Amino acid sequence: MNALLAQFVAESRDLIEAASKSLLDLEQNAEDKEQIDQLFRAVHTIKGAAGLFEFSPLTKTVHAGEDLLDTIRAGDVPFTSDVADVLLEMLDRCVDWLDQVEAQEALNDDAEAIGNALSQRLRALIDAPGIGAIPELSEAAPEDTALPWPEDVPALPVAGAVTLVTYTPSENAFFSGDDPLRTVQSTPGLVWSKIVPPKAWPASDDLDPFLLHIGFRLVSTAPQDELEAHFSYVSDEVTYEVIVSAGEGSTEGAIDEGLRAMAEQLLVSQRSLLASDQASPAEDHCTASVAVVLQRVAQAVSIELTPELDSDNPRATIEQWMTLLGAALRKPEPKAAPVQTVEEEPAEEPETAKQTASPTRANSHLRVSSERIDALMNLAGELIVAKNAMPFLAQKAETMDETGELVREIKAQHNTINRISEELQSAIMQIRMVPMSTILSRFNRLVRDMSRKLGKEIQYVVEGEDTEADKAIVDELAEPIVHLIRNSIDHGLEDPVTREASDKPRVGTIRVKAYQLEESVVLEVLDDGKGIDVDAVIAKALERGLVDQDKVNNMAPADALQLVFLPGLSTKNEVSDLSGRGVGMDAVASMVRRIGGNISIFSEKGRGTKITMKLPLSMAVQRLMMVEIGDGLYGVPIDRVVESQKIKSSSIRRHRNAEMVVLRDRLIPLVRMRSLFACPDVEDNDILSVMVVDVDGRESGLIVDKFHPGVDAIIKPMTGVLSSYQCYSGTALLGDGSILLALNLSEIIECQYH
Amino acid sequence: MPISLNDDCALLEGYIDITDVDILHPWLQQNPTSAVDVSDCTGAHTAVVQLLIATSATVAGAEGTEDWRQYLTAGSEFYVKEKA
Repeated sequence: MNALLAQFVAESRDLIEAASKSLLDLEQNAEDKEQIDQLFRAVHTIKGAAGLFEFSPLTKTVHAGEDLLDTIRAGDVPFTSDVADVLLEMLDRCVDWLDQVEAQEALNDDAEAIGNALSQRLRALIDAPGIGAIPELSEAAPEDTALPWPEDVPALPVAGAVTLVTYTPSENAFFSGDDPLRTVQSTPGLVWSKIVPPKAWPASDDLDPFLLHIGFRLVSTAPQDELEAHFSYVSDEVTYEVIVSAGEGSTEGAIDEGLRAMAEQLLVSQRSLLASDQASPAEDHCTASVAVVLQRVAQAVSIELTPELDSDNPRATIEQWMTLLGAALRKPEPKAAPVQTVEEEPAEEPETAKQTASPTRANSHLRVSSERIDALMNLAGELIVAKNAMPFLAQKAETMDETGELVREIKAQHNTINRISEELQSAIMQIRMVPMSTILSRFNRLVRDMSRKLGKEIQYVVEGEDTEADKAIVDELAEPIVHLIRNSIDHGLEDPVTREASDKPRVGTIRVKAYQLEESVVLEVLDDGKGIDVDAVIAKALERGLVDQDKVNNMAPADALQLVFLPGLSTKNEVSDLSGRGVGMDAVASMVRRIGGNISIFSEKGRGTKITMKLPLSMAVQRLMMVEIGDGLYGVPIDRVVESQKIKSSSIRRHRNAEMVVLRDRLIPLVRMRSLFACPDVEDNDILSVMVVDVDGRESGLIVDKFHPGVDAIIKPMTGVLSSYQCYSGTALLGDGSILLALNLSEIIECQYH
Repeated sequence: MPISLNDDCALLEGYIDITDVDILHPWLQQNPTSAVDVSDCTGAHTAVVQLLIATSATVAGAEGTEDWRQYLTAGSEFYVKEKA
């Protein structure tokens, strides 16, 4: 995909997201003019950008949406949920189309029909009875609605209708960084402008030079939509009137001034496009597109292009066409001299205009594809692994180097490289950090649609959306959160009548809370619904044979709740199309664990449910504690390790088949890793090495052969045949070239019991 | 320094930013009849143009120009010169 198209897709996605958010906010407060303006601007920008490419269904649909928004903005059409529905549908459709553009650089064949139907529905809302339809700006004939030339505007050398813009910036414009005069001076097609002074100036001593007192009137030959785009950021401070001079004769035979200016601009842009793409591989594409543009311009100004396009040398034909068009578009001399004549000297105007436009503001943001950052991250990871080889090197040198000088130097170098690679890694991590709001704001829509469908009244509250985490983690989180929110809406929150009957506010609340806790990011999904019925969960788990009665008898209520994460448990009798068949919570838990997080649930019957997910800030480089089991080295994520202890085998207590040990007044179940991995038994050792790990809030002790130092490693997921071994979360390469298997602790603890 | 001030004249050179209003305003209050020369001024912030108009400053070097300085002449109007 060419860079321009890729940028269009990326920007449009951002704009659609912003527009969706504004729409949902508007539904809460339809009077919020700021939101309407923001929404209008977003849609307007998408339309403008789409027009650059040949995606007419997209442009057409968004144009209809823009017109609808314009009437809403003007107060002609009220903003209702039905209007929001259609507009949201339009945004969804745009997302689909952008997907298509991204995949195949074109829209599917059915796009035209879908676009037409959708535009009709959007326009039907504008044309609803009693509501005046807004004419399409670019297509309306300006002369038909043009007003007579106002007295305060001098006669100007223009033909046909032009636009008179009245721009009254707010008094505080300077404080928001605006320079209205610059905006006026850079207006497209500007012919004349005037500073409108206030009715009375304050005395020089009372004058506050940082408040704006003046306004502007200006005349432009540019089409109105171009002017609207130019003034889009101050749209509420600008009014437009189409005016035409009183003595204006028939413009028959001559090209309309607006059209001429537009055609001329197009010609200039096509020239620069051709000049810029000389040696590019996209040249063919470029010349073809220029040819199409020129043909359309010619059609618009009724000029016949000769000769026919020479497919062997399109550039030559295009050059001829440009000369032909250039000559045709040259402006005829004004017949009557205007009141204000301007001397016909070679102007240095463009130069001064450039200077007046003051220093250009450099864009301080870079849009880089995440693949490039991933590549950088992988390289930094490799560097960290390579660095890990240095201690091995030092060890080797120790045996050969008697003075120890070489060893010292290797260690010193290791420290330096260690520091730099850690800084490099954290710098890259910073780039990859994105705020949670990137996904959390999306669920507004989900909550709205579901609550409408189910007839429940729900407010969605997000707290701590600025909390940042690695992009990979944030992206992976989207799916689990969707499940959790759906569950809350479908199973948790009651309908308004039930809620009122149980003395709760009519409107239920779903609260998503994000915050950072040490090296992790915590995400809580809370609802104030009916909570989870622990007895029902236990009964279901027994019925499905997921647990046995014995285990249930010994279970604390908090532990019993965790049963909802077991595969195949659903407490709702009928299956709903919204949250599926009870695979939700199981899927959520496994998704969270897959990215190295843990999940727990807390619920109070009648009061609500809280689900807490704790996730690593980043998935890239992890610190692992190495342990030895039967001659093999294994890694355990260090944030899961609670403590490492040597215990006497006599301190182990046994209950049936289970072994446990009391450490610091806590009873910790033990897992003999050797027997789990089917390693041959060794003669009974009196002292055992126990690593206590925390899995989903529950502690277990792993009996291993030996502890080894910690290591920074990148865990790569298991691939191929190995991927079916659930008890490993992945592999990591060690500095000496050996492979370390990272243990999937949840699975290991599960294995112990099954 | 884009603004050079003395008792009988203020000389504006290059681009005059909004922050320069802080210097120009007190000077205009003290020297209301002195001239402000914009012959070498390439551009100015709205606030500067507004200040010159509001204080009815005597502007030199704006008459006959074809750029933004036209705003500083009587009528505060600006005409775009027809491109050849």
